[in-house]
Amino acid sequence: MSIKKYNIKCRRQGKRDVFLRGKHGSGSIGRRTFLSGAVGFIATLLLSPVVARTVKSHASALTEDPWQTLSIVQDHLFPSEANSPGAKEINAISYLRNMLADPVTDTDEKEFILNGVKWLNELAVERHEAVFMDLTLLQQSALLQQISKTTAGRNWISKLLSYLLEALLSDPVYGGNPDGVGWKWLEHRPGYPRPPMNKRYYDLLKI
Amino acid sequence: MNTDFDVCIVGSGAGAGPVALTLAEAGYSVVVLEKGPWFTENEFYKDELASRRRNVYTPNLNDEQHVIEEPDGRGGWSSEPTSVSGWNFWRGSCVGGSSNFMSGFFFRLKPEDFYLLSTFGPIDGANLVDWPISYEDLEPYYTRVESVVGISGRVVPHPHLEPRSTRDFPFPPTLEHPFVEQFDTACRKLGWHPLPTPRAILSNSAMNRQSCGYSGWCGSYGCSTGAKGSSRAALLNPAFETGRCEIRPHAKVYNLVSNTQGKVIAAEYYDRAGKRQQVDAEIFVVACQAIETSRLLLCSTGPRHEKGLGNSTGQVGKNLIFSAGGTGGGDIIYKKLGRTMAESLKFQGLFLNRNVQDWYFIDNPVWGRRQKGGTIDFLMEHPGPIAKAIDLIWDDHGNLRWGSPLKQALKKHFTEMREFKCEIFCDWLPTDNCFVSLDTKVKDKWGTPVARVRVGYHPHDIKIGNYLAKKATYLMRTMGVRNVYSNISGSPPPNLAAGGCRFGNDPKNSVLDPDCRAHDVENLFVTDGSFMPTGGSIPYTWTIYANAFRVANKIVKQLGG
Repeated sequence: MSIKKYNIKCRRQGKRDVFLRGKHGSGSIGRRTFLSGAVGFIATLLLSPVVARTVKSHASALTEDPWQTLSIVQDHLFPSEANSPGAKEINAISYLRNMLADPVTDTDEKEFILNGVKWLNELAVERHEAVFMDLTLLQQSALLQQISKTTAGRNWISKLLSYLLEALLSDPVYGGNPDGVGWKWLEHRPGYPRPPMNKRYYDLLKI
Repeated sequence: MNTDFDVCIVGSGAGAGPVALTLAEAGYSVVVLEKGPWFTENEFYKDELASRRRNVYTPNLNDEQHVIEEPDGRGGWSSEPTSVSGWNFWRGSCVGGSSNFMSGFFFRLKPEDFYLLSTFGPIDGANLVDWPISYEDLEPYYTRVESVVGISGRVVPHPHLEPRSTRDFPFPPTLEHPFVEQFDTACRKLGWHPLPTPRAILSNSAMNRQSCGYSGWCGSYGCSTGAKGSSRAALLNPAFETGRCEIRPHAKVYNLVSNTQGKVIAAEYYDRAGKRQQVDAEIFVVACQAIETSRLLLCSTGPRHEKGLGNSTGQVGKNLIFSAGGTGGGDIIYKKLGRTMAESLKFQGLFLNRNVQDWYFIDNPVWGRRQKGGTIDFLMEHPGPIAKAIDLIWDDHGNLRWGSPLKQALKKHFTEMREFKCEIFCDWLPTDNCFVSLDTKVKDKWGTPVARVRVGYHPHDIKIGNYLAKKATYLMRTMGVRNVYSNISGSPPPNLAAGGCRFGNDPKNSVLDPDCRAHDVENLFVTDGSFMPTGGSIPYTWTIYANAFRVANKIVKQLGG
């Protein structure tokens, strides 16, 4: 089943109280397949000599610190707007950094997110002879639309969105949602008692 | 023989607690071996990351997993390890087991549930049998659970009310949301009986436990007040207080050793450091939840038990059942309600405890003879915001959405409406296509073969589920609920598993005798949901608790008490 069809199925299946049906949760159908991303966003990079040279000259950028690129992508996925918080206001990038640094997070999950940056830059170089962060906002936006048509791209964006929404709505004790800004925006009242600093989920794993 | 303990219990959930408490109170020494950690109320918070996103209460699937065999749609079976699929079949590996994380919807079976075969007749392809005991045998124990575990509720007469030895519940119902009036009115208009759902949640402080704190986050979350009647809070804590019950967390039992007479003499386990340990006892009780109980018995071979304990007729793991049915729901639009009601719906806290059992039995002329139906349970969507938000990254056509469109969808779903839900429970008929075996390749981190679970279902389950779903969606539309949907499927809910070691009089087609002792092992009992030949059309926990109290008395007798 494609991840798309699967997700529709999940929405309708719901898994809330008694009936924990459906295979999603922190994992999802074919979790490993989902994270392998096959061979990236471009199935075959048909490099012309020019592009090959360009990719080479950008080789350092392709292996550079991925966080700046991820932060730009986050701004596209969850923009700051006049009346509502965006990726910046919810500390999405530092939240993502914390989560990827957390030993509990699967290595294949971390790799997948970082590989996505590499694939995105390869595509940017192939299309525009520049890495993603050097493109105009419109070019960036168009590239994201483009990769969302591929399975790997869809999976990568949905993964980043999951972390964004966690940063928006998880307890501020995890570094996102500062002062409950996400809760306030969506008029959500948290459940009590809330997790204290010394009882975050990674602390529970030591008990 | 001088043993370490009189009774050794493997597992600590709903099947274990009643045995530990009964035996300790009767003066016997008990050890409980639990493979997970020992959390207390001080470790339970309303933390969606811990409970739902990172699953800290269940093992990492790379360490411990299952292999699930599903119908491949072409008449065969396709199997996938859960570390690959991400489909988690664990429900709570810690002291108290998954009872820590239940919603606590508590229902009794009805007298007819004990005699499905003789009451409704055989169904082709289903391994229906009558139970070897009757409702009357279990009734005193159902009643005992009401006061010992603590069930709050209100008895309302209705056509399918099961007989009771007491007039009403010992604890009044938990406080209800004003919205139930709309539900009750809609039901009565249709001539249905709206019933308050009994909850294993204390509505006032009792037995050294605090009353409910009304956060509204029961399902999937540990209870921080002790109001939820988990095996840990309600039974193991008092058992431990007697000074005669030792609880060992991080003790993963991998083998039950049996001697040349066929008796079990020791439980071998790995401690937290991965070192092999063992305890011996007079009586051994296995209560690891249906799938893992069958797995442990199959793994525990011995000189008189070549195919595993209790398995001399090859019945261990067979006739596994889940709960059939599914879910449904729709949107309550705030604009359509008065302001006060809308405001009160925005915050979950009070309970919407309602269920309908008008179709527990179905007289549908089209089907000819009377059929077994089920229960429809109604509730508000769980307040956990992250899962709800992540559902919204896919639009109704299955396209990914982000940016402003996503933000608008979030705003709308969170501030303009609330989802009203129903859950449909009907019998998951036992068949030859739903069973537990040992996988020949995949092992857990200690090198023990994992459970391979085939999860086939009977088409009859879907037929009944759809019949009930029609009723449920009709009621919701009557109430003015929008975008009503339902989903009945043959996909098994891993948190509602039973069977695998069913009890009966004939060793040829059962594993346990009517006292839940293995037919072929005199000092081995199974007290979790594994014993159930059929499951009724309700969640199982109350029945598991009641039966474990019943069996505990048999164990006391066997020890001479």
